[in-house]
Amino acid sequence: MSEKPVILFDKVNKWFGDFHVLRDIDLKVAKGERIVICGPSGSGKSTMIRCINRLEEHQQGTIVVDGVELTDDLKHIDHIRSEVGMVFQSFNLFPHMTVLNNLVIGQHLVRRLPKMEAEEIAMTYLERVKITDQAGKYPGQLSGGQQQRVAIARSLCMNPKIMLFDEVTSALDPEMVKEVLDVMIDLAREGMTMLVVTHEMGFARTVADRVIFMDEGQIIEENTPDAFFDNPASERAQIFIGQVLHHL
Amino acid sequence: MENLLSFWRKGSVRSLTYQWGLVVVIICGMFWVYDIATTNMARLGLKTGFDFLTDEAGFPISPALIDYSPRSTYIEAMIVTLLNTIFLSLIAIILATILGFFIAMFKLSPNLLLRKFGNGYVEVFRNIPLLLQLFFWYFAALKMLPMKRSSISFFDVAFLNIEGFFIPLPVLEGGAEFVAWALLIATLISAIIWAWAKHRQKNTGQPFPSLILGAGLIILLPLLVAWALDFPVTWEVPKFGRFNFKGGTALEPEFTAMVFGLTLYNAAFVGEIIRAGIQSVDKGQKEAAGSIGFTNMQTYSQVIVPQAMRFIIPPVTNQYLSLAKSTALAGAIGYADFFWAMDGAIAPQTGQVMELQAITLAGYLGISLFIAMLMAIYNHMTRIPER
Amino acid sequence: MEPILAPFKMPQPAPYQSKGLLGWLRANFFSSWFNSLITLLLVYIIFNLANFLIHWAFINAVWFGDSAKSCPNSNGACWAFVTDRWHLFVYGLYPNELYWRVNIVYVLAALTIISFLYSYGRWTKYFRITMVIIFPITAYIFLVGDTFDLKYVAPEEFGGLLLTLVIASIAILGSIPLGLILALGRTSELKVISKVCTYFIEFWRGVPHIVIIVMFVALLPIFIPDGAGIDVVVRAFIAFAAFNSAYMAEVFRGGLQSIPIGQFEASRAIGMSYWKMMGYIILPQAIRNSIPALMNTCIMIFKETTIVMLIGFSDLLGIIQLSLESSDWVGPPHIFSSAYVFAALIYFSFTFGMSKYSLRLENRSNVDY
Repeated sequence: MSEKPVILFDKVNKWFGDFHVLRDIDLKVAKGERIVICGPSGSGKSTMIRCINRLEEHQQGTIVVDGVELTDDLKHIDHIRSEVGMVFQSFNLFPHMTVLNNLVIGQHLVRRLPKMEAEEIAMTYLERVKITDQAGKYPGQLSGGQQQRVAIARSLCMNPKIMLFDEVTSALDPEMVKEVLDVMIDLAREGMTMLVVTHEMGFARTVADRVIFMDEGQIIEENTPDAFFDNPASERAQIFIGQVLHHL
Repeated sequence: MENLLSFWRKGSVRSLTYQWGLVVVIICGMFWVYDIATTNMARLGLKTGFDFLTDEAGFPISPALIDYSPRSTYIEAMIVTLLNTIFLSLIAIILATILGFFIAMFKLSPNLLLRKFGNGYVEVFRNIPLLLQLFFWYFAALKMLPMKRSSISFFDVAFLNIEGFFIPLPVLEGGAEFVAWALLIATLISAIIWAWAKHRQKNTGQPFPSLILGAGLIILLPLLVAWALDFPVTWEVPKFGRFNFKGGTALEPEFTAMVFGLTLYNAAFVGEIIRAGIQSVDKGQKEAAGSIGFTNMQTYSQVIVPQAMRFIIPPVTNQYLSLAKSTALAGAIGYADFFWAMDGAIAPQTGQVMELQAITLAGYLGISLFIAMLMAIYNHMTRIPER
Repeated sequence: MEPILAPFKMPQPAPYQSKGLLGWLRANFFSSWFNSLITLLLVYIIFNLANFLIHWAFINAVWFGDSAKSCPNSNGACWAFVTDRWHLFVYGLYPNELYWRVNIVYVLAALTIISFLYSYGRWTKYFRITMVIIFPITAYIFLVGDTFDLKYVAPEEFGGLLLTLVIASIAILGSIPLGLILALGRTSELKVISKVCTYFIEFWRGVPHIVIIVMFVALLPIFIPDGAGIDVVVRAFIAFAAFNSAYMAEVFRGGLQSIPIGQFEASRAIGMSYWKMMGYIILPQAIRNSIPALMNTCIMIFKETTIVMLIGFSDLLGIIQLSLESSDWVGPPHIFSSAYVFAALIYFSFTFGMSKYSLRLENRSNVDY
């Protein structure tokens, strides 16, 4: 790596009680890199990316995000979190606010932007995810795919340096998956640093710089997407690919 | 015959028959009951009619929030006790909600001891009958207070003893209106500051500590004015004379026992409701709020509490209703509430049970319907549109 | 590109501070300085409270005696009051020589409860059904008498715990079927029936229960041809069953509304009539879903039996209060508080037991489907 990595994991370990969920994770992510993380369920993929914005806390090792080390007595955790955007599998839009307000509230209260400015920014992002006509509606009135695109826009409004995607298409009906993936592909093309936990291999091939395969809490294999999917080297990866391909 | 059967088989014919049948049965039933009632009442020699309402009541009522003497009419007696009931309910509702809020916070706290304490409180106060709790406060706890001469004193201005809680009463002298004006002006200014700060935040995004400023102003400005005018508002402090306190006013032990009992009992239920409501909000909401950088305070005020209210308001309104109805037990410990007046005082004197029952029912039904209406309005105003 | 492979690592045990006793202590008690402060404060309070309670309830308590003079000190509980008058609390005003009849009923009640608490293999179902059928009938025969050579005991002479349990049982058993019918009526598609049931239910729920009981006791003679002949206590029983049926109706309505509409549609699609559908498909599920709220209502009914005190009946609380004011025992307030603590313990054991049983039912039925 020529420049400093924007995310650094150094011998990171985490336990849920007695269960060793992350084992000796070493990871470096450069600015603008697009990483896809895949693996069987329970392998710790979600836990790992949730450590990046401190939704989960690690017990051993070092995590450095954008030059700031994440420790126990982190004072400006809210500030760090606003630099790292996250999109969830269950969208988690605020149901009691309109779509527009969902996008505005963070900018207004955290970044302290005037409401007018925040609304303008919100509308530009709604345009990017192609959903401007729903601005006045409530999340309950939108389809799953629409809600997820709004969720992406909401994170983007905070102008994050890093975007985390946690299985964002897994809860969608098949015909809505494409619209969300298209938005993510556009985002990748503009150079956003992205960590994507997903099963969508087509997406990985199109966009990812690296694929990371995790199993039982550790990184088993890393490679370029084509090389990984066509020719998985480790036995576990081979089993996994075999199972996933079987269902296509 | 064929036609008749197929006519009957039509669903609409059957359902109409059942429904009209029920209406006919009810109306006949009402006539039949009316007939029996009138014959029985004639047989028992009971008077009917509402003329008795303007007769003299002949019994004292304490406490009385409006002027009342034993020479007042029955109607006035009813109104005074109804006011007592409403006043007691309101105070108990407010206190129970505040305490319930704290109990809910205890149960949600990261501290295990605090959680256990909250759980224990809820289990104990929910499982013991309300009447038993009221008896405990009135016959046991409050009766253990000292006699008047050895009252427990609070900074020598308030005195707690077996006959009540004697507190000072404000006395307004010459310049008192200015203090009142100062209070009003301070409140107005605070409101203006708050509105201006909101507007400013909307336009520039900068927050402003309008809450603290406003609170400070409301407390300090009247104080300043009072100091400048040499404190025209004094307190009439109860002073113990030969046998009794002179000056000030007293909260009777009956009232105190009711407030204690109702508050502690209902706080257990309200606390449970609040805790359940907050925990019903999807966990992902907290995470989403966190992921855009909300502080804990912002997460709760902007995201969690608005959604929790939806789960909290219906059951808590039910609880308030139940509280208002349970004030009817006040007669058992001597507090003059509406039911005591109707059933314990007026009924034995006039014997006109039918009319009194009707008025009692109407009174309590009125309170219930009013609360239910408020809830329906709130529900309608805060509904989230769905597909 | 060449794949980057990592050797597989076995799981390691968690570090000392984050798990085990120390980790648990840190998380729950000392996670922040404020938390630690509260822990210390609470420990201090709890210690003092426990100290006081042990002294009051055991060390300084007076266990036996026959009048208020036996308990001069207010630093100890006056259990003498309980040991002296316990038979009044348990049997009420039931004639002394006929206590054996009440005892039989108590034993049968305990058996019925035990039959529901545990599983006995194949015979459990028969055991429970037998007890549920035998118990009410036998209880009535033995308590009231007037058949089989048993002397008649008027319900007016019931009192204390006996009366409390009788009122609660009759209220529960009476309000459940009524409540079910009302719930079916309220959710009916026939508008008139639905409205009538709704007004009926909301009426009972909008008025204080004591008002309703007084209403029944005072007005039943007027509205029923031979109303005056009905025992006052029985009128109270009827009142209890009547207004509690409104609460049961709401419980069952909640249960009915929790059934997915697909169940109704599937039943109709097969061709079932309304009553067949209700009886075989909907009600079994709805009743099962209603059980937690049902138990809650039962607990509420049990606690509410105390209000009969206001019309002069001697339920458990009533007879305790009467004894407290009797010439033998009337005295300083600490005697009152001892008696109330005793009463609270009795009520608490019943209601707490019921809520624990309800939790158990809930957990068991969750596993099923």
